Amino acid sequence: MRIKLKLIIMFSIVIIAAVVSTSYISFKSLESAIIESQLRQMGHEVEIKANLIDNLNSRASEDLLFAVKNPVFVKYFELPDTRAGNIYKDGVLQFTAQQRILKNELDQWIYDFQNKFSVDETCLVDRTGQEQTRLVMKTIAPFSSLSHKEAATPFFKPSFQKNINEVYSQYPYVSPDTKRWVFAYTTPIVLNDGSKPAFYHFEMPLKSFQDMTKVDQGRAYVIDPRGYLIADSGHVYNQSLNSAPFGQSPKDFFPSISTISTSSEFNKDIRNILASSNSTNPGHVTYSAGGELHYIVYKRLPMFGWVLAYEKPYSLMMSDNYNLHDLAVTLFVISLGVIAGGLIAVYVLSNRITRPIIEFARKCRNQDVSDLQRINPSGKDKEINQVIDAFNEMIERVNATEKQKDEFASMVTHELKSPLTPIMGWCQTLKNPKLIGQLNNKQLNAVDVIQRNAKRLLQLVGDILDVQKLDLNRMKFDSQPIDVDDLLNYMYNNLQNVMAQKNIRQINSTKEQLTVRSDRNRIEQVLNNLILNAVDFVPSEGGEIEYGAQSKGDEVLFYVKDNGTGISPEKQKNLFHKFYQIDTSVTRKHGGSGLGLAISKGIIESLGGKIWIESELGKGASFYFTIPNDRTSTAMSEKVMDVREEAK
Amino acid sequence: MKILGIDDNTDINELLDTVLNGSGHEFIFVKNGTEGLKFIREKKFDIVLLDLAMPEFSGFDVINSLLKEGLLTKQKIILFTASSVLDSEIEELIKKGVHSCIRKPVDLDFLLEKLEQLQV
Repeated sequence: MRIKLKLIIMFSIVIIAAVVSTSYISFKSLESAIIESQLRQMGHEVEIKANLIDNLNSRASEDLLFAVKNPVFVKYFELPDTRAGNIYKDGVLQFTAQQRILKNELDQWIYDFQNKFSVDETCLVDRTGQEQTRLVMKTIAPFSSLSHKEAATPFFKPSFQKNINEVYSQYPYVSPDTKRWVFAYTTPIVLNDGSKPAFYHFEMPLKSFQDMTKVDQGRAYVIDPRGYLIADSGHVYNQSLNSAPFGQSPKDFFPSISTISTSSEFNKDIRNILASSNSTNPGHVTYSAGGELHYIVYKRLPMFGWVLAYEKPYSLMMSDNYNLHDLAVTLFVISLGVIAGGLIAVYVLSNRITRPIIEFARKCRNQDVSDLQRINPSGKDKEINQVIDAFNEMIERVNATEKQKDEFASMVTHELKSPLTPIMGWCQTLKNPKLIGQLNNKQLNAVDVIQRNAKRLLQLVGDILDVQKLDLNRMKFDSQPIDVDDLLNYMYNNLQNVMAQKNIRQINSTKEQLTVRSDRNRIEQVLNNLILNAVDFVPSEGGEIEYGAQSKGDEVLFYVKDNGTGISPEKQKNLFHKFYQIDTSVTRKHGGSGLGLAISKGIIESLGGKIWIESELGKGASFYFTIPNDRTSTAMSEKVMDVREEAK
Repeated sequence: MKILGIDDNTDINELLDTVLNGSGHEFIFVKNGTEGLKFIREKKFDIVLLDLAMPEFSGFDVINSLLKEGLLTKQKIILFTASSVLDSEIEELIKKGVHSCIRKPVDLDFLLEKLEQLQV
């Protein structure tokens, strides 16, 4: 994997993680701040509603107590007629004149009182369960409708158990008179002797209480200890119960808390709240339903163990708050910016990190193998410079080793060559009868063998030396105008002996007068290599080697063609490689080093030309090479003689 | 011609002695540079065949000494050396005043031919 890619991935992860986590934290903190403030607001609202309900409750109690403070109640019940009990006539209560006066006074007081305070119904019930007076919706009930069965009401007994200035509150029930849900406040009438002949009672409509749960948003409800929703802003209560029996069970009329949510979490929470005795501060719980979180702020009311709850789902809590949405948008935009900026920075940074490495690799690749140079660090990155330093140290060591190798090779070649001077010299001397006498034929033959092998050895050493020079780029080339015709004629004459011996027809098919500025000796060497190569491949009978030169644009094209066995395309590929031999048995015959074509290629390319072969199996082979006019190099001193030819 | 050979290789010295003296030249040889320098100072030679690679006092030392003493161009110094000496080095020496260079191993006929040319 590329370092750059690694860096980009690594930093991208870091940047994205940082941005996402920062955004998440900011978002979450703002969200929780909003929720907290919402909860506070809801708590505030719950407090207000609880106070309103409480006020209603206490005002009802206070007014009730205030009402019975009127002495007319005591006066009425201290009348001997009242004490004696009322007389019925046709089931209708009869009042004495004195009773009537006081009753009218009572009714007037109650009527006035009802005007000030909205209660559905008030009535005065005596110990026998007989209603003495009743006002329903500000209408005084006729005698005929006064009930005498009030002892059956749930509040009858508890009312008499209360003392003076004490109020009993009755859990909601359906009023048979108003046909709707009410709850009652009662207080006993206490005479001077402490007896309680009656109690006074008024009924508050449940609706006035239910109206108090109205909220703009969310849902407010009051739960009774059994889990019924006594009041619920999200429920429309039936307010006209025509056939409602007295003491109807709340079960038939009030929805249960499971109508708000069937979530077990919610039900458990609500049960816990109802069971808890803590009632001072509003508390809150949450439950999830419909894929979102619902928040409930609750407070216990002072009456009947009821709990007032105010609920909002998450979406509603956030709906008024554009801050959060704005923050989300802002965070998104900033995040994109930061990520984009970060990625650009990472890209630039990673480029900066990898550029010197790539640069270094490029410089390494461009190195001339025969002349390794130190690489100058291009940057200030310590680690990369350490690598370059290490590389330079290595180059120095390699160069030192290379130099030793070169020196050794040159020494070996020299050592191999120097004994050949006396060997060949003495062979020549032995064959000269004028110098040290005449040898017999057998002796001359032996000298010939020695001389031939010494020449071969010299050729081999020379080839190795050439390869070494070409490899190290140390071969020097002459640059003189060459008369190509003269060169080829010289070749022709030189080769005549060899060709005659092998019975080969050689043809110089040059038709033009050509001149080229280059190294004559080296071109001769190459032509010699190619022609002697061909000699090994032509058939023993009818062998033919054609060579020559022709102009090809600015260059001179040389060719050597034979009518030999040809060379297969696979073998052509390796032909110019060092030590490659087409047929080892043939080479033995020719005695080549296997370096001839490699040297030829090296020489031609050094002279700026190209060398190639065209051949098909069985159809002979044609070697071509081009020599351009040398325009660059300066002529070498003419006094320096190359003795390669001389040695032959 | 009077020819001096300076070469540490006895085989070559004896070969040249046989060939050159047998071809009508007057050839004497010494086996090291110090002696060669002494001979050059004392006598006049037409040609000096000087080997470069010799132990202790090499052909280069001989040339440097002759250059200092102004004797380098008094006779034709022909370097007689193996191919291990670079062309550039030889060019350098030729610039200093050395006559020419013949690479070892040498074709004796060529050597004689060359000497013939120099005599004219």
